[in-house]
Amino acid sequence: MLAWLLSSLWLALLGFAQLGLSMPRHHRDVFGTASPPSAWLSRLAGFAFLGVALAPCARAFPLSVAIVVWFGMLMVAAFLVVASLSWRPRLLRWMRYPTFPPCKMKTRDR
Amino acid sequence: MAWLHTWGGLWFCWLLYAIFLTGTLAVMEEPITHWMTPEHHAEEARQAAVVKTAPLADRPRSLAHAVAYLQREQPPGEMWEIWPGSARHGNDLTVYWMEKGAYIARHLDPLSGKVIADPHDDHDAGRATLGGHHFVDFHYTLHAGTIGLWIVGAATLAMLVTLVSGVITHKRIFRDFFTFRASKGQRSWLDGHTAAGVLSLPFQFMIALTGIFFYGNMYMPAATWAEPAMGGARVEASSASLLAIPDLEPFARRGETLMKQDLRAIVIDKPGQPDMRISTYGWNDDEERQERLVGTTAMVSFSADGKVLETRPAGKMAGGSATYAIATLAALHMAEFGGFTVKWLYFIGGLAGTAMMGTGAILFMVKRRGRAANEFGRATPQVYRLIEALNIAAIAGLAVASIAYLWANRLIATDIAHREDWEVGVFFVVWLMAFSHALIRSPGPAWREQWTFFAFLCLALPLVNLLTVGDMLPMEVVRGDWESAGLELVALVCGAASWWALHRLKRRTTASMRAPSVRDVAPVAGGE
Repeated sequence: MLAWLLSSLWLALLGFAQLGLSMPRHHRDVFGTASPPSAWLSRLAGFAFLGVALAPCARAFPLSVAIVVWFGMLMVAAFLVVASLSWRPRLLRWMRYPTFPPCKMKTRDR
Repeated sequence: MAWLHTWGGLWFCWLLYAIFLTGTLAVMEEPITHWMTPEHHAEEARQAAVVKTAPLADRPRSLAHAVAYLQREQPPGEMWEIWPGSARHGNDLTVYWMEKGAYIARHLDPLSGKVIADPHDDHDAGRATLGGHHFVDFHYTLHAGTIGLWIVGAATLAMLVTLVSGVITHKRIFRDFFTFRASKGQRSWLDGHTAAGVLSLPFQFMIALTGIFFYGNMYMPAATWAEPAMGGARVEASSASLLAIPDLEPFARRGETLMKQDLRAIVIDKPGQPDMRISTYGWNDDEERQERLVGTTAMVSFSADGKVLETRPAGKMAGGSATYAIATLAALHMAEFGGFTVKWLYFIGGLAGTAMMGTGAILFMVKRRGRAANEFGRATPQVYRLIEALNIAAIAGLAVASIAYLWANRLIATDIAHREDWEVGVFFVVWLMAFSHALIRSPGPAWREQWTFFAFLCLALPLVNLLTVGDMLPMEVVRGDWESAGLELVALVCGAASWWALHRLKRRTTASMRAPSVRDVAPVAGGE
């Protein structure tokens, strides 16, 4: 049960991290470069993770309850990502790793 | 729209803050009640162990006793209800009936059939308290009955309006989705307000909407007027032509087979009438209760001669899809499914809503501290002063009052009459004192002093528990009493958050009068 819930939270965190990092401002806070490698791919991956986060909830609960829990997990993950971007942006550095190799490009630094 | 959001928000934010904070605590009603009734901890553990093994009084005899009692003592009315002993419920036998619209209960001895006192009425033992139900009651009626329900309903409607207008006013909802700029004065308040609202928007919208639907039939009663059966039509009992009540045990047996659940209760509608109806209701086991949104149990009803009239599986409802939809919305509001996972998520969502109300109220004043907008003509300074005092009393004061309620539970003598009213009295008196304090002191010191007091009350709560009841956090953890330990841990976290915020504020603030920063108020977790 707890393992499913934590996996769901982890997927939701990954999802919101991708969505946040697809925005130049937040990408700069985390990586120093204003342009994400591919904003639309980040966004796509982000939404995909958010969607997939429902799956572990649905393993722990029947679907009707799982959807409520999923929304709750999304909310908690969103708060954690915002807190991290605001106080500990570098924590998100390795949140991008599962989807993309670390960005070595030095283009368009601001 | 901005105008609607500002003013609609302002006039309702104090009330909504109170509804949200108490609602957040209401999610944890059971742990709070548990913590507030320390004398029953041993008894609860003993009963939990005994119930499973207790030899059950013979059910056919219990049912016969109940029917005999009802036939002897009660005029055949609309409805009789019998709860025989069961493995989940212990050995009690309880009968209920409707009399002049009221629901009345009597406890019977399952062996002799004589009326006995409520075996679970523990008002005499230990401390009489409303426990966590105080927060529930305040949350939806403000302790004011029907009038309170209407006030809360109006506030909830205002909240929906404010939520929608807030989303429309917020032009950069996606671009600023992840934005929170800390330690930047007014900017931080705005970011905090929008982050709290936007990130938890589905929850806030759901909770407000389901809150309205919960008492939809009361707010919009036309449907119940049009359908008298919903209000419970009176049955004129003509005692002349009463049928005999059949032996109930066969009904109970068949009901259990059809329901695939153990028997919880038997309800006899129109007892003795030709269209008498005998229904059996089941028990949900713990797992079933977690897994279904709507926590109804299975039900089968029979006619008096044993024909099955209706079967309803657990989690479903009679009365059509509209009734079921309302029940689903109410269940969504009450968070009785999904166990502690859902309760904690609702707790966090509730805190986010509380923070949204609080930061919104503070933002209104922060915007006007530098330059008055003079909305109230010559009275503007006085009105601002009043709004500031209301902010302090509503936000910090209520948090102080909530934790003071827990203190009252430990400090008020256990043997005084109407003890539970004293506890609630302390809650309201402390809140009123917080308001007076906010009026007397200038806003800066008032904020700081109330949060300091809150931090002290939170951090010292485990100590009070130790000194009065002799229980303490490590002991609770060791014996696995996570309800008590959780409450004290949350109190400690709230106290520490408040203390840390005050500490930061002291470091940062120059002598000038400033509001505490977002983080100073965001952990307004209150008394839990």
